[in-house]
Amino acid sequence: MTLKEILLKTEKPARYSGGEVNTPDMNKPCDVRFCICMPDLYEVGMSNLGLKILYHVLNEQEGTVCERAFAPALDFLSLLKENGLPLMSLETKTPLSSFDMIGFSVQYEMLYTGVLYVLDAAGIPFRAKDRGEDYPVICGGGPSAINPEPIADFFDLFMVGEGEETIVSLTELYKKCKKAKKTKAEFLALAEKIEGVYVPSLNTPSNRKTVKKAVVRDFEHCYYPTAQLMPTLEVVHDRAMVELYRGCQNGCRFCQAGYYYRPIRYRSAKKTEELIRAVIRETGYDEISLGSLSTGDYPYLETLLKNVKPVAEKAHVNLALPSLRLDSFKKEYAESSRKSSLTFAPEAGTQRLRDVINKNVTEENIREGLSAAFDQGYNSVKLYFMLGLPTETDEDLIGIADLVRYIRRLYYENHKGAINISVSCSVFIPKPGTPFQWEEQIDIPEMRRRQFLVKDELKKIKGASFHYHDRETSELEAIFARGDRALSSLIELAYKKGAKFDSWTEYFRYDIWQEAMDELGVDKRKYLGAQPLDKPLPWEFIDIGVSRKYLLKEREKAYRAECTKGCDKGCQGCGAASFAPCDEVRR
Amino acid sequence: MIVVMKHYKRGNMIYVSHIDLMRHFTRAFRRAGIDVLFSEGFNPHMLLNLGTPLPLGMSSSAEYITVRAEVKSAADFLSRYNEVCPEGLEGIAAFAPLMNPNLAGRVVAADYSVKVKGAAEKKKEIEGIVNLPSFEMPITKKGETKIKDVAPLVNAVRLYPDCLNVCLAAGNVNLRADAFMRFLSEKFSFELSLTELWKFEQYVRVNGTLTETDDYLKKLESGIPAKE
Repeated sequence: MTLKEILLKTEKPARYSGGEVNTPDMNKPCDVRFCICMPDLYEVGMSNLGLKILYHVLNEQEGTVCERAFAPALDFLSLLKENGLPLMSLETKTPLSSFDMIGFSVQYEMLYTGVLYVLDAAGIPFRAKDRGEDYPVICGGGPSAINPEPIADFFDLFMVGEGEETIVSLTELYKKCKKAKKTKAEFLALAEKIEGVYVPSLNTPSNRKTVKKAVVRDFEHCYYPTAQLMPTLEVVHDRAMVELYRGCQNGCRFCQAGYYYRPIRYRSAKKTEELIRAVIRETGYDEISLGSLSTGDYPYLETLLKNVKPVAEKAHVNLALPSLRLDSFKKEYAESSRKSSLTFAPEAGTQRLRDVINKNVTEENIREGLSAAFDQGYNSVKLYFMLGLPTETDEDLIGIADLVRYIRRLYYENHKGAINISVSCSVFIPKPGTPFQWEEQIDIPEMRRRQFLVKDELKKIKGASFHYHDRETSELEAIFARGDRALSSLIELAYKKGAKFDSWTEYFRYDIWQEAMDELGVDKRKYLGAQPLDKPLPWEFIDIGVSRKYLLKEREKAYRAECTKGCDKGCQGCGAASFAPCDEVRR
Repeated sequence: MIVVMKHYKRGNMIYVSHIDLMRHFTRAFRRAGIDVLFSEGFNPHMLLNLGTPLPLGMSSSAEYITVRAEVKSAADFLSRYNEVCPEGLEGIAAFAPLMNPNLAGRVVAADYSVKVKGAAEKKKEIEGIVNLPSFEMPITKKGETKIKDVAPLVNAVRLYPDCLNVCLAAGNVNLRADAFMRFLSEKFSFELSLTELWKFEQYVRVNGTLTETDDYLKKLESGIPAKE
């Protein structure tokens, strides 16, 4: 069968056909062909802003062409295999193994087997040491690069931190090396000198060198794509995105992104407005998401909304404000958007525990924010919590139900009719780079007990519904989050036994992982238990700018249930400002 | 004004579903800065009228979309759209009928063409289908297969050296061209490449006769016909 015939037999063939609006010129003369891979389905991968930034910034460079590939769904993969075809890029249908470089964006731990799944479909050996000169340089990046160790053996190099400048330096270096006919090993030795680049084969646990994460210093003027690639079929986040700022002033102690993407760098209202206008014009999307880690904390939000609302309304474009915190939720923000449902993340049920995790949301904030929202006509609220947080007791869990009751009472003070309160609980996962990186994760029976405790409490409340995360997935995520190099073998064995699409509940098979752990003698408690404070952790050779001393100080404060003020109330001296000027220090 | 645009669906766009196709148009019109009428109410959306959905994988050079837009002329609409349109959804012509032609309800037949090999010897038998009083084939709908007499749905069958052209009922009463072609290839054992299946004309019925859609639209540009 030809590819065309295969596509006709495939579910959602537009996932593989390419030809999206705003695809750059693929036929220009080029010295390096790069393929960005998302180890997940098209609909998930194409929702990612990082992919769009990296894709367009590479294609902007003279002599560089960047294409894409996603994890093929099972039906398409088996048709490819039946017909002896390897996985190909969407744009020019080039087999992945023919590219100069492949870059995997690894968004989180459950995509590790996805990397092997894609390499397998492309006919590329898994381990870097087994790939000779003829195979592409395999790069990794994305949030998982904060602890690349569990997948280190599969990659030639990692881009740690923000990738848009690193990736250009790397491809430029590749061009030079290709011209000078240098070997892969010579290229990697030079690549290692670029800020943010980690080469696992040259930087081993027994011979460590510090790797500094890369940070965009001039965020105001850095490259940002406005003619963004338009997916051909509906994707998970089907809207244009404009980034307001990087970093976060809040310092929630469980939040990896809040520490990893420091220091804070705001884009001016003027520049943001320019980008929004251009994005509307060049994409034609009916919705633009004003993204950041905490959009309500963007200091120029009011000015910006005042200026862009008329533009958006005229073009029938909806402005979406994701990641609003209760304390920053203001009436005017809710006005323009569609009144479907409000989502807030108190994360913990009691003030004590919210102080422990430094989620500076008080009952007063909840009262003000929700009253404003209810007056606007909202009657559906989604609340996100975490179970298993350090120091958590049953009282904190019952507090979740108390909070839901409080919200109900608040609603009925001035409103009639039904209110829906949906409560969603994930399980706390200690993540590298946070003050909680040393904490233990509760075991599966305890997760179950706590989930059912909350479930039973919420059953008593009319209009409340409860969802909770899969326990086994959460455990595996925690194992990998704090994993070391020994786990590469586990991932490879589990993949060979059939583990794939672990982030999709319908495909996740814990028994395979269990079996693989038993076979290799992997003791999961080593990764799930509390980690010693006096020894370096496997990922601590990666310098994210926030000092160990600061993280330990935050950890101590957590145990005293003591809050740390936001960066906007004064610099707390986390250390990230040494990497790039912090806009909160400057202000 | 009411604008009807005739457009292609070809290349990579043949894999795009009907609902995604609507999304492509709303985005393209917004990029083109074409002011298209929106619905009123809670969630305003662009008012688009598309014809019968084209099966996934089929190409077409005769698709039609109807909108109400603030533009100088149909030609202005077409050129502005074509500047920003997705590759494979290019506009071919645009008309400004004085009334909504309601093509989705009016189209009754369409021409299709598919590449074939080894059918020449059976030319007589294949073309003779049109004159048969009945012609039965299995039709699968929602997973259920039934034998159906499709003779009333076949208007014309014509075999050329390397392609087979048929005119089939389309619209509210519809015979899927891919299923029909596949059945013929099995019955008369010839090869066909369904990846090269095109729809190239759509017909409406005017005063009892099949009329090409373009001709019908041109007539509507000069005046509203009296009740038939």
